[in-house]
Amino acid sequence: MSDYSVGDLITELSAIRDRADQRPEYIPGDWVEQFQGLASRVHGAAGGDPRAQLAEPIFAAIGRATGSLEDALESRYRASGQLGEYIEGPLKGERGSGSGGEGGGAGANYGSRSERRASFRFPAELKFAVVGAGLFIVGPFVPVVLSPLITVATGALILAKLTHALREADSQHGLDADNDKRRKSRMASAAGSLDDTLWTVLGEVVKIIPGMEIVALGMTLYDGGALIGEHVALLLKQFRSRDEREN
Amino acid sequence: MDKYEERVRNAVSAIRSEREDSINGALAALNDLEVTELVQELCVSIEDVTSGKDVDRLLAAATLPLPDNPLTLVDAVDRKDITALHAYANGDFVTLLASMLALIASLQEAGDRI
Repeated sequence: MSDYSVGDLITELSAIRDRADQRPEYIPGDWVEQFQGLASRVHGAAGGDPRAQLAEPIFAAIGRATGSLEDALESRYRASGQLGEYIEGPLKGERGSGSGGEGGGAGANYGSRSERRASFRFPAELKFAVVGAGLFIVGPFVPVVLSPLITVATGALILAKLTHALREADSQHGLDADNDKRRKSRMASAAGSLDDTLWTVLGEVVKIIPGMEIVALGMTLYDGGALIGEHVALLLKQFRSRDEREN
Repeated sequence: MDKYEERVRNAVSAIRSEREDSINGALAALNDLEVTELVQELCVSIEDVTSGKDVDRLLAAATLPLPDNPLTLVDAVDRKDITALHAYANGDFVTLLASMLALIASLQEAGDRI
């Protein structure tokens, strides 16, 4: 039996993204079907509490799917470290004298590109959100679709697919035919609404995993795309800790 | 040229081309970039198109669409003030990304022409 892996999904997502005629709201039906199949097989093989049994492979899949999110977070932390070195390092004086200091003007005449980027310091508390639905208009240009926007948005699509599969599997087994939520998940994904999609997905995750109340609390503090990766990383950390304890 | 510089350049070129397929393709290529570094690269790109230039003249000569209050963006970049950029876009990353790309494309086009 050939399972459709999350890696396959990511590969397909990347290929879709690279196509010039890509539309982010387009989600091939076979992805949904393949995930449904995966979830159904796992669900059917499990005994005991079907929700708990189903959660394991779903979370394992999410772990693989969100590897890119973790990489992005690590990159951010590495960049923060490099920024600290940049500020505190011995080259500070040279840069300061060469171009009028950190806040001094264009600063286009020193350092490598990455060093120049690092000179724009991001306050630690600053968070950007993806507030809109991913649509904006640049002057007279046609509406430009910019969603999925960043890695977390790609992760959101993957998570939405997984949730969709979970909902389908539940429905098939008569556990929970919450069509409204499933429709909401679809609609959020179709509209490219990162907030709605992630809210729905994380809500589902919290519901099926015991001991995830802290995440529910964290969700109330949710304030945009920058936190999404952190939420997911927290989910993964808790899941893996639980997995290690059980093993 | 690293991937951040390359993809931002491609996005700016696509906006200057005013072709929908090019714009969408170039913006999609930004998807896997890290947000912080992408904003920083956009700042550096704004530096590149404004450094040593008469910005008022460039703005007056611009024919491509400009974002609202472009000088606010230019000043924020000049001061390396990310918080000001955040305030400009009300924290909306999409607004900031669109505004900065439009500004770069407009000023670059004006600078090439005059």
